[in-house]
Amino acid sequence: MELDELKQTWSEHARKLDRILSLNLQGLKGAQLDKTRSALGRFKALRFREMIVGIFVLVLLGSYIADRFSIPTLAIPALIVAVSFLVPVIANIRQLILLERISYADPVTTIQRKLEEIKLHYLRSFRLPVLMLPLYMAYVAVTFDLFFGIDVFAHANRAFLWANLAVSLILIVPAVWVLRNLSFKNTDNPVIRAFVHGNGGTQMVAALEFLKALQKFEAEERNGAIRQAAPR
Amino acid sequence: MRPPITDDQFSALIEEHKGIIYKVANSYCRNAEDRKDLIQEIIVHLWKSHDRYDDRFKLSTWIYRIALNVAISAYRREKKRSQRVSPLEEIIIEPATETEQADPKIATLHRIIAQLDELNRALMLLYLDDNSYRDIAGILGLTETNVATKINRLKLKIKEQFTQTNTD
Repeated sequence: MELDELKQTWSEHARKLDRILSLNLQGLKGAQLDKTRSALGRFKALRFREMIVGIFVLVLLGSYIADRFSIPTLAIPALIVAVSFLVPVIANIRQLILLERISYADPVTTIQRKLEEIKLHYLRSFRLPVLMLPLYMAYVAVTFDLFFGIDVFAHANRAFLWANLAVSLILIVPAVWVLRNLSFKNTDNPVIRAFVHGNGGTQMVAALEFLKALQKFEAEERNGAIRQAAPR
Repeated sequence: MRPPITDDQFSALIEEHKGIIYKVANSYCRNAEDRKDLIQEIIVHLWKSHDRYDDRFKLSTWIYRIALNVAISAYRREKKRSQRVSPLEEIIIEPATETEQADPKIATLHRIIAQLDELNRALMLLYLDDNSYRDIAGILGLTETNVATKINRLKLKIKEQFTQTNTD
């Protein structure tokens, strides 16, 4: 059987459908539709909430840094912690701007690529904890000061500090490796794949694979003339 | 900015193009309950995008783009849509499953469509709906040449499938 034969059957079926499908218009009130949040709307709301929480933490950290500005052993670690919150806040703002620009009325490949690229921002956010790994003592210092009122760097003995410095230096190696390899080109690498999955990135892997599929879908385009969707 | 659309005008638009909405939803979602959610999601997006409708394009092109984008996104969403708030339970396009089941060719077509990935599924649906290569290219964001190549490939694949089924 040929596809064109099936196409004829499909057309007949479509005509039948038009007669059979019944639409309950009672629910179609614009005001109600305005209030209905789409999946994309919920995603935006989630990003917005994350951004607000991030800004709140940054304000608290700002106040903490101002209070301990004259104590470098506390102010510098707090600054490092603040940076680890600032980067996701900036990423969230960027994501919100990109999401705001999404119009589902654009061509399918364009929108699907944009949506997947927005998801990929998560991949970048996975890089941050890895980058911060060798600087874990900054979190320890701020936590000890906040909860126990102890300035770890000022009061800990030398052996403790040297040991932690050594651990920090060792952690630079895996951090650099992951940073260099954490890319969608490397999702076939089992270590990178496990890392991304371990960081809740199952959807990320799916997004990366879909981007690859999109690239493949558009691949023939390079052999033809590239043009925008033609107006009627 | 386009003048705001009235509820009646929007209802008429949906009524006129309900077939497109249903076929897209049905191609990406075979579960009746989830399909209702998907149809609702498409309608919400159509409502929220109507003021941005670019009249250089056919109305059907605009509807196909929104419906396909929403359907593909929903299809790809890993989380169950049961988590969603669905206040518009009254919008129901009654499925025509009986008609589909009655026609074995349609059932075969749905099986073929279900085997395709989400992008080729869109291409197949647009082709079956008798859209021109130019329109398909505009909806998907491809060139006409690319569309023609892909459709020829789909035709060959389907022919092979039928040959194989008959041989078996």
